[in-house]
Amino acid sequence: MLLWVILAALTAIVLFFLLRPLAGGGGSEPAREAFNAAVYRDQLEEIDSDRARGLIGEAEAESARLEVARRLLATDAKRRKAKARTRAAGPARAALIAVALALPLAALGLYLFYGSPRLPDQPLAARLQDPASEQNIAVLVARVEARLRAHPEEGEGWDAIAPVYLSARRYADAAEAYAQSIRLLGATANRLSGYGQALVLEKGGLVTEEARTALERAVALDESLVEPRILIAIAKEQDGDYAAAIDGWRALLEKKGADEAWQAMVQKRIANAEAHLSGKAPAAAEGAPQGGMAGPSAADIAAAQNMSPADRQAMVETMVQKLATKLEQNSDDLAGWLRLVRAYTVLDRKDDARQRSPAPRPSLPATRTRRSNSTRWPQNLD
Amino acid sequence: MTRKQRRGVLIGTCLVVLGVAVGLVLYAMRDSIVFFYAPSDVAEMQMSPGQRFRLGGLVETSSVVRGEGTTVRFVITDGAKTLPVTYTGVLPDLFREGQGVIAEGTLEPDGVFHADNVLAKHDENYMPPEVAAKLKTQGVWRGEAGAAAPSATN
Amino acid sequence: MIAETGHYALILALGVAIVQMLVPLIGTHYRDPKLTAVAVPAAQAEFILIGIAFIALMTAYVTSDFSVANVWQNSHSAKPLLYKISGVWGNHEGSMVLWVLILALFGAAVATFGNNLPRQLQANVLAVQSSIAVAFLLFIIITSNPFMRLDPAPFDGEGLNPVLQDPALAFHPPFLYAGYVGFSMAFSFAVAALIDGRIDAAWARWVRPWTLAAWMCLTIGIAMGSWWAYYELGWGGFWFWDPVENASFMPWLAGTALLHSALVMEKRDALKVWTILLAIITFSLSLMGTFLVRSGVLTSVHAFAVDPARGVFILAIMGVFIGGAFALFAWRAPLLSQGGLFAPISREGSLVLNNLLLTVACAAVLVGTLYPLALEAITGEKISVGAPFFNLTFVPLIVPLLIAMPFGPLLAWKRGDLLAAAQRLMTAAIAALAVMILVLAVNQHGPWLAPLGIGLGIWLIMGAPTEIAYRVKLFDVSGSESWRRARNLPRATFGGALAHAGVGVMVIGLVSTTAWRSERIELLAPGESLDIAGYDLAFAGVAPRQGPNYSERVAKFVVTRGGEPVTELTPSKRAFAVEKSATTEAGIHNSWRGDLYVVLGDQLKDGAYSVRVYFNPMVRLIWIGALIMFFGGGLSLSDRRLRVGAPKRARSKMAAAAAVE
Repeated sequence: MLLWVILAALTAIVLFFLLRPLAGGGGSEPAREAFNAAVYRDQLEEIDSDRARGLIGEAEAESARLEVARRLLATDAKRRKAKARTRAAGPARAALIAVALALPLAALGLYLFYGSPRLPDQPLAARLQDPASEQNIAVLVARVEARLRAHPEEGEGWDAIAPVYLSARRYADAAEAYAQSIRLLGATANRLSGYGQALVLEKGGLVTEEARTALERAVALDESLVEPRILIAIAKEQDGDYAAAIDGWRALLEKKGADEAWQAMVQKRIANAEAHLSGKAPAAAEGAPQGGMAGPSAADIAAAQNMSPADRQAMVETMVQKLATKLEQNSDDLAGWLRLVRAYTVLDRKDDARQRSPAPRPSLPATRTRRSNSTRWPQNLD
Repeated sequence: MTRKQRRGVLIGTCLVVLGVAVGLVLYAMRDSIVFFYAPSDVAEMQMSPGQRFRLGGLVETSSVVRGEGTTVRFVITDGAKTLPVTYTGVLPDLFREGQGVIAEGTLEPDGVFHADNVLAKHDENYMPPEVAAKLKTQGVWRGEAGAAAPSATN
Repeated sequence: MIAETGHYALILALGVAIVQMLVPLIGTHYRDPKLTAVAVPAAQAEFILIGIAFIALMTAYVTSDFSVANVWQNSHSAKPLLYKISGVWGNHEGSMVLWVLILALFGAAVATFGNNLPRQLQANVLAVQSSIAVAFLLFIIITSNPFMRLDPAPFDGEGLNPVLQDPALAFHPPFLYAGYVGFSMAFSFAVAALIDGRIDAAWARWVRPWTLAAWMCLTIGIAMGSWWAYYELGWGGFWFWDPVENASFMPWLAGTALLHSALVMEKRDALKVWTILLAIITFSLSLMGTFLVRSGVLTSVHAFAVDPARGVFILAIMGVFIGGAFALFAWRAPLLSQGGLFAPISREGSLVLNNLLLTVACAAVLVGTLYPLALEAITGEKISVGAPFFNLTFVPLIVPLLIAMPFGPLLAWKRGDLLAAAQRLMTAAIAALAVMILVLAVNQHGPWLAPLGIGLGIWLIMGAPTEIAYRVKLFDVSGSESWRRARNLPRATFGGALAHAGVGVMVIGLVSTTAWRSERIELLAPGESLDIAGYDLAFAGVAPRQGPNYSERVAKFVVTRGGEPVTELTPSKRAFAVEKSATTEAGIHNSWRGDLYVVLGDQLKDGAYSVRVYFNPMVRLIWIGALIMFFGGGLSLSDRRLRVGAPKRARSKMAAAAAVE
């Protein structure tokens, strides 16, 4: 509302000053030749002062004086001929009405077309303080981080930020945050599971003893968790205990049924483990099961943080798509696998996960974001 | 001096200066203009040795070899053809394998392009426009994603 | 709300500009003083409205309001305040707003201080000025709107390009723009005169100071850009004849010519038609400079296709204004009366020669800049026209001008005495010759033209005191009389002489750097050293260092000269992790002899670094010369006779004259 008041006031003030000459009484303006004559007289004076200072010689001054005097005479002659003509108020009245009507309407129309009157200013400082302004992850993260720096004993903050770190692939930060939340708020299945995952992923897929303990505690607390079970099975593989690993995989299959996306992959792993057991290990399955699958680069993430939600959603979706394709080719990619499980959950696309056929992409929520096309414009330095 | 003569002097001077200028421009055009080619153009054109031109393309991956002193050898590719380049001097900051560059110099009879100037610009995603255009025509342009990403270079 | 107010103010400014363009023109046509009187408040309102828009945009930058798309693209919360501010015009949209702001500022100045202009002339000038504003505001609002919003707003901005965070670069666009746009005044006055079919006596009096102010800004803007390129790009070069540089250099050349021809017009009422034409040419080149640089078309014609809307808009604006002005010129110029007569050898004659050589040199630069574009557009063949072309064409055209330069101020108006002028310049000639011989004797190496160039510089510098000596009749009259005369000399005389001397200083800098620059590219391992131009540089080693948003490798060079310690230079290579870019920071040691310039290159496998070392003799004279030119212009501008707005007595006289009517 205040905005409209300001805009109206601005328009009114401008109109007032603009229209004042049109509304006023019609005075005649000084004739043009009067101005010219004034300039010539000035020039004559200048010549005299130059002469007095000795800047120019007498002869030069004289000829210059003559020249200017001639122009002055011509001007005077013209002035006598010219008649001061003043028109009736007709055109002025018409112009007054036209401007008074057209200017505000045109400005308003154009503004409504291009402007976003409903959008408030969002300076950064205010956004960081405002408790409920945004659901933007990056804003939340920054706000929570700032708060935790000041109040490191608030477990809720650590609890909130830990999964965000995990999905942002800041594994060390995630592990630290989970550890803090467990310390301050106590252990839950989810916290332990997250902690374990963070540790494993930080080590590039190696399930350390610490991680394994956490994961096992998580499963003990909540049997339905999938991620810790995968990792425990992998830990057993890493220990060379393939029989136990196969048991773990089988249990997983039973637990989650055959409809999950990664069922085929679990089957593959079982086959691998069985191969190991029977002593004819396929070379490809050796070693820690992290593949060469690269996640989004730091640049992608940085870009994602700056994207509008719609863009981010689109980016996440393409990445998930890519992951799924990659995983079909390379079932040994642990981080990718976990990410896929998580990603489908995040995207709420269980259906897609179940069917696995290229379903039509869910239509994106319409966005009000308008981006100028200037990013495509090459901008030179100068 | 009459008015006519004055005008004659003025017009004469103008003509002389203009004539000299046109002569200079034409002369300079013939001698000091540098053409821009991609390796494929060079392969097609039978370049005479010693002719200066600019060579543009991408630095082929793992082709950069440091030689004696500050001499560097690398290969410029446009996807279809390649051309070895040798250059003595300090390479620009953003000279990297896989990045677009422009080298200026001459093609010597040994089939190596002797560059005396190598340009790369101060921008990670920068592709010299000439290079981009050439690569597009060669069909190996992969910069669309990069171009669409909002990258403010200003 | 601030952003939206700014957006609305910009749109309202467009409306006001349209009113300002149409109503006064109708007024002058019908001779209705009420209608013409609208021009003044409209010009003032337009300036204030664009000012509001600009301040709103700047507020958005300073407060990091990333809901404004332009801010998000070009700023970042971690930027220092200085660069948040300069970020406003560091991008296409914002720079266009700055452009119209300066345009409106000049219009408002004519409106506010133009009491001594004939009303019709003032109204026409403001209408023309406003038509430029209309075109630009339309362009901004439709294709390059800086007030587009993002909802929801991203958390942080994208623009944190480290190379561009530099004071010289941050503040050179405003100067360049003030220069470009300043020439719009001359343009508006020229077109107004053509519309009127007559040139008022006040015309040249008004055009000259504005042109001078614009010229000063452009001079300093170009010098800043060149200075930045010198110390930041790490190549030790100061001018590359790059199309972007040429785009700003061409209006400078034409503007310099305009400055001189307006002088003839003011003093002698001659060269009127030519001055009008030159005013149009100068502003056309400014428009071209703004647009070609901004549109990216200079680097490639293909850049145009990236965004056809903008490209077409740009072409249309250039076509309308440049084409329209030239058409108007062809149609109306015959109506304008020819002015005073003069002999070929006279002050006027010398200024004609100045104009001729400057415009032809400018044309040569234009050909070199546009030829590659034309060729690419027509044949598709890509060429690059570089320094060799310009050295071959521009230099031979400009050298005669420099040789003739000291003669001009010594010639009288109307009919001059070349022989007498030559005699007065004897001292300068002898000094130049002596220095030339000295340089030849001391410096055997280097191109044979170099001593001639140095001599030319001395000749130009000595020309300035010669002129002053002539004006004060030094040695012809008693010392006290000369002193009295010197104090009475108008400041414009000193200003002109100073600016000419500045050219001489610059020539010396250019010639010595080009001719005697030494360069060494070496592989150095820590502990090794190299010598250049009498300096010994001992390479102490490279240490990593962590900056606020970058990590760098800093090399240390201990510089000695004849065993005496001189300085320590620390060139570095910075890597910016987030932006994934690297910059080279040159180590520069400045002395009166010149600059020692060290750049750290790559590290090689065996631990040695490639190191590039330059010695640029007297390179700083180039920028010092530009500064002297700038101050010379300023001194001229401060002259009472050139001051904008009539002297008080003239105004009262005019009021009296008007009252008599």
